[in-house]
Amino acid sequence: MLTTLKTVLANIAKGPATSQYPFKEEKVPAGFRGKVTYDPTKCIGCKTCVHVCAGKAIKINEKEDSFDFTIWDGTCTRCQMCENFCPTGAIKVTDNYHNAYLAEDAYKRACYGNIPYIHCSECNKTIKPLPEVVAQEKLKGENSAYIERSVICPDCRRKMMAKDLMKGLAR
Amino acid sequence: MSKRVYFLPNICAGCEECLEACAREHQGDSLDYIEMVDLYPVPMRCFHCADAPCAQICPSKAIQVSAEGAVVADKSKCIGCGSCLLVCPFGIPKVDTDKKLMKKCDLCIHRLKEGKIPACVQNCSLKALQFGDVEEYEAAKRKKAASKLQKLGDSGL
Repeated sequence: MLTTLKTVLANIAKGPATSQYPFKEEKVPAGFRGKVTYDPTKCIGCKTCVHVCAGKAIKINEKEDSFDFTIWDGTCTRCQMCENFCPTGAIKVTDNYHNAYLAEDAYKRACYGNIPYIHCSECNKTIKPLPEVVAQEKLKGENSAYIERSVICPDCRRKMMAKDLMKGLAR
Repeated sequence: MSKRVYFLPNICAGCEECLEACAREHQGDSLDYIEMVDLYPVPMRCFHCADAPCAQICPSKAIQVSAEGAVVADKSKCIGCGSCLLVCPFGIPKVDTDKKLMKKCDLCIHRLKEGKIPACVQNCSLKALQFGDVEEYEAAKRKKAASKLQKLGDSGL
């Protein structure tokens, strides 16, 4: 009897062994794959993520003046392939483990981004924008030629270059 | 060092023979351009940058700088995303959205390996396109300028 009481008292003093989940945040182990987040300021719309997504959760819908980017959270298998292959680091897998949701919120659980195209400064044609972060990180940001010409469509860029070549060579 | 295709001005007649030669070499797709500047035709192709931005941004690492100094796109790795088109300072890559492939000048790398020169250079009837070493080209230009200076000195000016 006395030993039982001893054990009970010792356990009460130790506190609960289980976590008080909804009322208290729990620590997650390093490398845990949780909800996926998307940063539209870094996205270049290359569709690599669409290509590698195992669950076909990522959709890129190209429209006339913009493109839509969607990650359906319910379809995502947390495989981290998108983060691995994203060339600019626009997609990140967080340690957010809150995966329970109400049935009515099922279609609201998505990462959504709308990226408008820019217009060529010469001929007003629509082209995909080159994010500044990408120019700084990926292309080291040392050469301003990329940034200066990123608002011009490839056709006009070629024409400009031909003009420059002719000017330089005619000397 | 790496060899490139050079263009000599005021010789090109705009006959588009280089475009046709390119199409013959690359399964019917011409990968070169001829841009008209006022009245003068300027043949353009990939400049094969030493520090190519397209190779840096390519998400599937399909674009690589080869040992010959040519910037070559691997067809089996290309996903046709068009990122290279976004950063190319010259607007050279051609993206085929149906086949999801990017096509650009590869300096006729299959011909280079056989010891031949690129098809556009070989077929240029006016020799407006030249294929040569960067350093050789610089040396020839220096020599030309030096001989001009020599002449000036001789004439007593």
